[in-house]
Formats: sequence, C-alpha cells, structure tokens
Amino acid sequence: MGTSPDVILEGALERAQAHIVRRWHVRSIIKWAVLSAFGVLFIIPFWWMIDTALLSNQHVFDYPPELWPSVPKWSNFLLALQQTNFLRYIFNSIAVSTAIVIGQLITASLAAYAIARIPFRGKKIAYGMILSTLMIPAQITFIPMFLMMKQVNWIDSYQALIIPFIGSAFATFWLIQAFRQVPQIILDAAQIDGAHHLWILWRIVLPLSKSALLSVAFLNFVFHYNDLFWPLIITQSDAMRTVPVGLSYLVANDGSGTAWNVLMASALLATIPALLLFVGGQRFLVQSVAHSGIKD
Amino acid sequence: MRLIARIDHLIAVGRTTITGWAFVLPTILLLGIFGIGSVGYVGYLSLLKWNLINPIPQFVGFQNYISVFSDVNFWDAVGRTILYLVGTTVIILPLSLVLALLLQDRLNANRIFRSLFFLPYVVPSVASAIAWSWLFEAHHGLVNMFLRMFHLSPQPWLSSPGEALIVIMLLYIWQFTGYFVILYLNGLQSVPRHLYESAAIDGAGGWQKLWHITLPMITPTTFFILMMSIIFSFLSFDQVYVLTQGGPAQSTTTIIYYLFQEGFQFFDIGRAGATAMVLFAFLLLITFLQFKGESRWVHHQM
Repeated sequence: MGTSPDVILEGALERAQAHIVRRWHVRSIIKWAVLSAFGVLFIIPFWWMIDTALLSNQHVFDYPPELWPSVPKWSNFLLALQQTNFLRYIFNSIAVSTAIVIGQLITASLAAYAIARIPFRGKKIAYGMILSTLMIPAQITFIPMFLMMKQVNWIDSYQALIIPFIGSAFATFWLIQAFRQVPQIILDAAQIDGAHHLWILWRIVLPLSKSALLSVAFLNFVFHYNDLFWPLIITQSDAMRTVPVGLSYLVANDGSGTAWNVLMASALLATIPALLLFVGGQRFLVQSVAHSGIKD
Repeated sequence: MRLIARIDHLIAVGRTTITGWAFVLPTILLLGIFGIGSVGYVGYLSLLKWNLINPIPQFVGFQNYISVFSDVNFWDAVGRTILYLVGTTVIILPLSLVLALLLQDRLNANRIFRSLFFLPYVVPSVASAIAWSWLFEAHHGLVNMFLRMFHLSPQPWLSSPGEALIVIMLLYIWQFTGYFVILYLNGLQSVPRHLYESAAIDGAGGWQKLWHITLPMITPTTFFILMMSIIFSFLSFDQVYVLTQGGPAQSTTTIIYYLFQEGFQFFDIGRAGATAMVLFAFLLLITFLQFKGESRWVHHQM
C-alpha cells in the first residue's frame, strides 16, 4: 500500500518549509555579517580618533596600541582649546553658518512663494534664471568673487564669508516644491479676505512647510559649517578663521613633530557642533538628503 | 464703464507683477551677481594676461586656453581626476546599493546602521582628513599596524606617489557612502510593491526579483547618484588640501587643486580663469549627458 496523497503532500510542505526557514536563516546571517563588517570599518576612524585624543604623549606611539586608554587624558581637549583661538573659530563658524542659513531661508521663501503662488509676468524668466544657477559649481566662481570682495574692501570680513551665499538656487528650488503642496483653497480664502501676500506667506505657507524649511536649514548649515575652500582664501587674520581653516593651519604648521593626541582632540572638538545637529536633527537631515534625489 | 474695468484689470495685473518681482528680487540679484555674474567675469578673466609678472591686465584672447591645454601638468591633473572619479564611483555605487538593499526593511537595527553609515558625511571633511592622515601615518598609523600584525609590509601611503591618491579615494568613499545609501533607500521605497507580489506568484526567486524588478526600477536613482558622485569627486578639494597639498610629486593634484594653485598660489588669474571655464564646460557636459542618458536608458514606469 502506498501512502495517501495527503501524507505525501504534508511531507512535501514540511520539507519546503524547512528549506525556506533554513534559507532565511542563512540569508539573515549573511546580511548581519556584511552589515556588521562594514559597520566596524566605518566606525574605526571614529574610535581611533577618540582613542588617540585621550592618550598621553608617551602612549601615542605604542605598539600594539591601547584599544582604550587605561588612564584617559582629558586634558588633551583643554590643550587643544588653548593652543589656538579654537573657541573663536567655533564662534565664527556657527555665527557665519547661522547667518547664511537665516538669509537663505528669507530670500528663498520670498522667491519660492512668488514662483509657486503669484501669477506674475516674467515669472518664467525669473524661474529659468534661478534654475540655471543650480548648475554652477561654487568653486569656479571663487576667483571672480575674490576680486569682487577686494574691490569693495571686504577681504577678511564677515560680510565676505556670508553675503555671497545668501542667495541659494538650491534652497529656492526646494522650497518651490514644498510651497506647491499647500492647498490652493486655503490661499484663495485668505486672498478673498484681503490678506496681503507677505501675510499669507508668513502666517499660512511657512507654518505648513516647517519640515522643508528645517531640512534646508540643517543641510545647508552642515555644508557651510564644514566648508573650507572659500573661508581659506578670503580670511587672513586669525580672528576671522572658521573651524575648518583653523584646523587646516594646525596640520600645515605641525610638520613632523605632530602631537597626534592634541590634533585628534581638536578634530573631535570641531566635529561636536555638527554632531549635535546630527543627533538633534537626524530626521531632517536624512529627509533632506533623500529629497535631493527627487526630481520633477 | 468698460474702460474703467479694463484699467482696473491692468492695475491689478501691474500690482501682482510688481509684487512678484519684488519677492524674487533679492534672490535674483544675489544669484545674478555671485552666480551668473561670476561666471561671466571668470570668462572675461580667462581672456586676460594677468599674473605676478604682468600685474596690469592685458587682453590676450584665447592665449590662456592654449597655454593651459599645452601644459603637461594640466593633462596629468585631468588624468588623475578621471582616475579618482572612476575609482571612487566604481566602488561607491555598488557598495551603497548593497548596503541599501540590506537596510531596506524598517527595523530599528537598520536605522542604527543607516545613521552609522551617514555619520561621516556630517563630520567636517578637514577633521576627517586629519583623522585619515593619522590612520595612514607611515610609522605608527593604525593601518600599518594592522599590516604588521598580519606580517605584511607597512606602506608609505601618503608619502608615496602611487598610494596617496588611493588614501584620498578611501576617505571619499568613507565620507559619501552613507549619503548615497539614503538616496538608494529612497529609490527602493518608490518601487511599487505589487510588482514583487505578482513576481512571487509567478515563482520568481529573490535574485530574479532583484535583477528583473529592483535594478531596472531604480535606474533613475542610479543615474542621479552616478552624476552626484562624479560631481562630488570632481570638486573634492578639502581632502587633497589637508592630506597631501597635491603631492607627493604632484601625484594628487586633481583639476580642482590645479585650479586652486593657479589662482591662489601662483596668482595667475588668466590661466586660473581658463581652467575654471574648462572645468565648468566639463560639468555642463556631464549634466547634459545625464539628461540625455536618462531619457534613453532609464526605465520609466508606465
């Protein structure tokens, strides 16, 4: 007597299930192994920075290295703050990036509102002009911009660090997309009530576009806080230097006798503001990066 | 009556037009001066002989372009830039895709990994480059310690003309992979679920789904990342400036660094202007090819 079809079917099902479960296991093991391997690779530079920053001078060159300093030397951070005008650099960077971002949000929301919501003559020309500047990489404009700054005597000034970046095609483009999402019916109602465009922008459109505004703000703050090229060529005095410029001079002046532990402490201190932003605004940063991939 | 209505209408149109232009004016002015104006200005500068030897600008036509194009160092820089951007892109594109594929389920652990991969992007590149110069330090750097641990010979890295560019490439990959992972995750999310479901009903396996559905559906993202990666690597300046200053023996002088040297170290405004224009033309070409390629190769959803 052969086995009944039901039993055969059940056996087959069980085997298939076991097969699927086994494959699933193998797959998830591979997945976590690959992710962990890359995770470790990506975290090593951070760990090595922190580890070195806490080593005392005599242990920096130890072989094998101490994986974690037995006696963390926190005073390296104090040294890093004292050996240069570090707090001044941090102040400059935060002040400049904040001013740029606020300026960008003001000019970009005005322009974006007009283009998204006001049916004015010549709009296509204005929009086309803004879009065309999206393709200009900042680096190729630095020589003419430097000469312009020289003509108005702005070399080595806050104006030179801030004003060239207040108009932003990127921010405008982005806010146009966001402002288009605001339902027309709300705007119509406000207009019938006789509201002026500035009032509508301030009281209706901006509050409804908070997440887009924050995304632009976070991404551009990080970008300008980290920027080296322009501040490097436009600043001269130590008091005007931003964090990246100050750091780059630390390396340049050091040469062979580098105090790696203090240098790493400086690099970590430079990273703290950006890191705080990352922790506080990760959602917006990630959203903004993701958004930069969406095109109409 | 009619006339009054028409006049009223004209006034209304005029008022909206004035309001509209008033709103866009700050942006238009700033971008006009620092964007379009700068490009025009740099184009003009590229036609001048203006350097330390000739402090009084003098119109010389296309002489700077000829001089740049016949400079061996320029072509070396072009070659190096292409090597750099191909080398980084060939690694970063598949790497970020694989990581994104592994991270696409919405799990908490995945979110932690995503943050971890993205973290290097927010670190100032000067700080990262400083960390890199210590990681790859020839005598006591961590990388060489690892090599010694496995009885491999330590490498000179940053002081070797053959290896310095590789170190900078690795830094670039570390910095930008997380950025592209997020772009890919976003692209993966936009693939319609029902395609996978119907494929599963037809008996398609994981690899088949990946090959026939996922990859074709995310080609727009791949194209966008490809273009971004090329532009980012083209404009990598901080990394070179901090790690090698273009050396050793000019082995890391990419186009952007060549431009920096011409303009701000040798103060040859004319040649730097010509270099900037060539760089701009190249980037425009890439953008154009991207648009062309996208309409041709990219799979658009019906």
